[in-house]
Amino acid sequence: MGAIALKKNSFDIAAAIDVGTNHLKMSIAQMNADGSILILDEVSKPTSIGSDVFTYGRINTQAIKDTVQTIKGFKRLLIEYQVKHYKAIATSAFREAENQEYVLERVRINTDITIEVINSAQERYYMYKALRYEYPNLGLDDADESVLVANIASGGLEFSIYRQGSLTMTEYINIGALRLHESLSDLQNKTIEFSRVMEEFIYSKLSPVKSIISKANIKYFVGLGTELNAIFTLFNNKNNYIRKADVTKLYEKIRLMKSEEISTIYHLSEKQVETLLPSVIILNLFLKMTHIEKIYIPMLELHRGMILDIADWRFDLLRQRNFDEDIISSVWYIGKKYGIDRHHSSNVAKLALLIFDKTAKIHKLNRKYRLYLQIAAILHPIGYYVNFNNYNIIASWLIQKQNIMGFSNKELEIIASIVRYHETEVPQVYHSSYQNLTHEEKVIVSKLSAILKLANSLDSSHEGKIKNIEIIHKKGELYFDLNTNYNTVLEEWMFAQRADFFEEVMGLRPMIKK
Amino acid sequence: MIDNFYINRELSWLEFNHRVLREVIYEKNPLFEKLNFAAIVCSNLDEFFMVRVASVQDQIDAGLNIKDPSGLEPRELIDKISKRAHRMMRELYQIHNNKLIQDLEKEKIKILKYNELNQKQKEYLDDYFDGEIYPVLTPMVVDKGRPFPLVFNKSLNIALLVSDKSKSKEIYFATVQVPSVLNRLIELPGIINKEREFILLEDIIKNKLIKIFNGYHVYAKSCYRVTRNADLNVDEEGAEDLLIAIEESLRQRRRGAVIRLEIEKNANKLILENLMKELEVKHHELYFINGPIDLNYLKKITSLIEYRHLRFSPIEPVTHKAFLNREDYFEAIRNSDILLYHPYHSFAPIIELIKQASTDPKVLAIKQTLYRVSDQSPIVQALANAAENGKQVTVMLEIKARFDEQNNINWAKNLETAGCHVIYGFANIKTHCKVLLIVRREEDGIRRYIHLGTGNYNDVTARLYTDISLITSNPYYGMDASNLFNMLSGLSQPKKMHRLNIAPYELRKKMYFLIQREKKNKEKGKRAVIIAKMNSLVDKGIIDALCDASSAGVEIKLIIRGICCLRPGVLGRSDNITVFSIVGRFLEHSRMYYFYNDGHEDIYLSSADMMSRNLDRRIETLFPVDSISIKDEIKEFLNILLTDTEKAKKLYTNGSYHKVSIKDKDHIASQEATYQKIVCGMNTIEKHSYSY
Repeated sequence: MGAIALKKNSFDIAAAIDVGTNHLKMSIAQMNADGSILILDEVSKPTSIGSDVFTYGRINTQAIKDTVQTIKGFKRLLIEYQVKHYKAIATSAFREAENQEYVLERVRINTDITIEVINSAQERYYMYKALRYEYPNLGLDDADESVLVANIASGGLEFSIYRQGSLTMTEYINIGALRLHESLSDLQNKTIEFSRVMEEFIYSKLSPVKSIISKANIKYFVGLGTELNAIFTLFNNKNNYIRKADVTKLYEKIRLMKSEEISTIYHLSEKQVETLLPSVIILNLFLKMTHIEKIYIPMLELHRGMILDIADWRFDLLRQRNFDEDIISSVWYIGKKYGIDRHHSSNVAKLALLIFDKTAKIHKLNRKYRLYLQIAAILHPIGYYVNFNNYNIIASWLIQKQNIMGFSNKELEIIASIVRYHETEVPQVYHSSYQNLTHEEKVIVSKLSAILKLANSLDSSHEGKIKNIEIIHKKGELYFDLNTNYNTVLEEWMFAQRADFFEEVMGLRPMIKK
Repeated sequence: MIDNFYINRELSWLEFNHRVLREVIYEKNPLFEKLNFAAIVCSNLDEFFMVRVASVQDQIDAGLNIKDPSGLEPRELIDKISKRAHRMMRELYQIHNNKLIQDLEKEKIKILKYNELNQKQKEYLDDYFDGEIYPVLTPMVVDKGRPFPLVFNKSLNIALLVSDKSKSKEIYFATVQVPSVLNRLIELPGIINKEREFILLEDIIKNKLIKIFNGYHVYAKSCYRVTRNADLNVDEEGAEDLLIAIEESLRQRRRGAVIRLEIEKNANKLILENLMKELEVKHHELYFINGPIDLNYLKKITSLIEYRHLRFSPIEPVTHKAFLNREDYFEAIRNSDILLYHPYHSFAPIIELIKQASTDPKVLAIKQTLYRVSDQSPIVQALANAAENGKQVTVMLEIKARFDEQNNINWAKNLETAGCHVIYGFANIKTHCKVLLIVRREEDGIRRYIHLGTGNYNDVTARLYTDISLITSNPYYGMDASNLFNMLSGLSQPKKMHRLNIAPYELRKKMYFLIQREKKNKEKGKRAVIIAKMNSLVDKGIIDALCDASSAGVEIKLIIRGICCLRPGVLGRSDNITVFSIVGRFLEHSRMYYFYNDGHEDIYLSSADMMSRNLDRRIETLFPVDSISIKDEIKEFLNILLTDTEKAKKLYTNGSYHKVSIKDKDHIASQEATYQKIVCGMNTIEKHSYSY
């Protein structure tokens, strides 16, 4: 490479590689310091990873070879643009491939690119980032009405509701278009009413969702994901939406057609046809649940969101903080499902963040971990839903099963551990969940749970007694100056109980200033 | 008279070649240029026989008798081709013998026959024969033990009848190839009064046969030349849709079959019969030549130094004003889009641009399609340098470029050694588009510079072919160009483009859309005009679309240098279509498509001709021109072409071409006029006065 000396630029080049179910894609973009992005290059190659995995549970040799070959080509473009910041992720099909580890290894050895297999919550995170970027005011205008955002992906369906500009709920259901095709394809030869059976099957899967959606007073319906994008292109529409009536018409038209017919009429590949029918059924059923007449399709793609994410962190953009609010909103939704004391959770979260911010020089953790702490603080009481005893262990277990936008399974494990140790218990080497963490992760868990212990103790009475805290660092001791109008004997007593662990981890003894 | 809406493409091609032939007698052409045109007529025919005629013959051999769009069955067609080609050859030799040779003599250039030589010259040739010719001759006698030898495609040979002096009087057939490694035209010593005398190689050999066939009696001798069916795989231009039906084995057998035999007039009958039998030549494939076979030797005369008065006065290509006195070409392109019209505009800035890119620290990548490059191509050199300087260089090299494979393979190797990423395109689709993309990392972001053209990146042909190209830094073109290269390198499946239309994906559809839009406008009572300039119009779909527009009243003017299968002037079908052809000093090669579009005047440039192969089996580009001033330039160029009175020939309904009659006023030779326009600067364009 020629030595290229450039001035400190107001832009940088980022790339996002998406090893998807049907396609391998890469997007290379210029990210400007003002947060705008400009796509420079987009490449995509079809892959059979999805059909391999949903049929055989593993990625076949040919698909592995092709994947390595394609990513080698992507790598060439990375070199060409001298890309320094990039992310490579694999989604639903890959997640479920039994042989994912050594496929990833083959790619890494051959291309030096490490692909991260992300969960559906992380996938959604990128998707919604793209959505927020395109529609910054989503759902902001109406007080009583909501925006429904649905993403029909190859492996699953997820949907969220936005109200007054913030995310109020989000759910993920394991019915994706390709998955449906692969799992029901046996039936296709057994019944001529295949589409009817499929519809019933999907309806049964969607039934828990029905009441949530019908209650939400949906005004706008936004559709994301490759499948909806594909349906959208069939309509040859000049607008950015599809009408409900058109979807119904399309469904009626294709449900009795042979796949060859569909492929000739709509100029679709065999692969595209496979997922068309299930996607249309899902969309049709979804539309029936609401009273809206059209669905907006902004044609967003995952890699767009990935690029935005790289830019957000690279330039530390305000946008990221706003986006964190969406995540917190969805965390509150989870808490609500488990009937938490909203008041208490919010007190603990407030206190925990106060302590985090005011001891920044001591713990030296960045903003990302602040979000971990906030989530742990909000969700710490969800274990009560199941049992009052060992509720911290139950909570930690429940958290690992959650689907929090943008969080990897590993990150959920970290948050779960923080919650586990938020009360009396302290990390022990024989705790298997703790054992599984790396050294760095153990340190993070310890520091954040130490803070959470103190914060929780300061709201022992669940009465929100403490308005603010000042923290003074003096001769190896941290003095907590509590701003309160209440009697805080219980809190102070509890605080003293939790102080040992904090001191052990941070090297400073926390004390209540009298 | 008009039995069909379409003109047969082979017959149309022959008419094109005949227009080239008319340049041989065109009075204003200097003598050497006439010779050159005569040689071109011959070499054109060679290729035509090897590829086109061969494929018609293949259809016959495969037993296919499907009619072509013009209603001809292969057998009828081959008959018509043969008749037309025979007539053309007769005409050409008549001109050669009665005009060219005499004009050369006036210029004191003489081609002598052996018996016209003086003693001194004969002695000189004795030495020359022994020293130079004899060692490379391979005489071959056919007898029971020695089968008929393989006679190479396009080789000139001498056939003879001999008998062994020592043995019986049995007569043998023998043949000897006139070596292609030797100069066909041999200058004789002794220049007197600046008079130069030459003799043809075959004439020398013919008169020295005794020396070769030592111990034999030579009874008769005749020159002949064969043209063979060229490898079909090399060219998909043939009637390939039909050829799918042809068995591979049959193709193997036919490949290399003789498709034409040229033999000197008055050849010995026995020789002729023998050749026809051994080479399996049918009667219609036989051409008696009254003069030297293969007029390509005339090119040797034109390469004699001096004789400036016998050539076109050279035109000095103009450097585009955007590049004048400017060191940073990228800055020039950033300022505004640039239109280059070769050979009037110099091709040097393109080379310079690549050279600058090869050393510019800001340049990240250079990507380019190469189809036919010149020997010692400075572009290839610059690309190799760029790779050595650490640039990412991607070269899409089309090795399937016809009859040019070896040259291309050598360049590919050189580029790869230098570190370029060389890609070879698709197995069954030729990459014919001409695109150059330079990616630069500038202070304010990534910027791409794109050159899109109608001609190959070939500095030599850029002086002989008229080609038009656009240079721009428009980001949409950049994105599209990147997409195109990603697709060509197999990195990505075809993507939706912003500005470019790519064949075989979108281009045809786009063309239909543009034509139909004019039709719709006409039907709404609006003005509707199409002006299109291309090399060939063959595709039935496009022809029908144009005729459809014509019958709706759209005014259509086509400037088609070569084949045109559209029959103009058919009442109710194509009576609003006029077709002109311009064959001149420069080979018309640019493709421009103008659509009135209700006053918006959309102009597109393209690498594609309107032939099925270009639209369906090649990677081609069609791209719009955005800049108003460049659109004005192109309109002006089209206008000059349409008002040509010097070289323009109009296609009549019966398929014949005739000179446009000069009604009044100006006498316009479009190529000269275009050059004048460019020399004087395009800012001299006055208010347009279109004839349409």
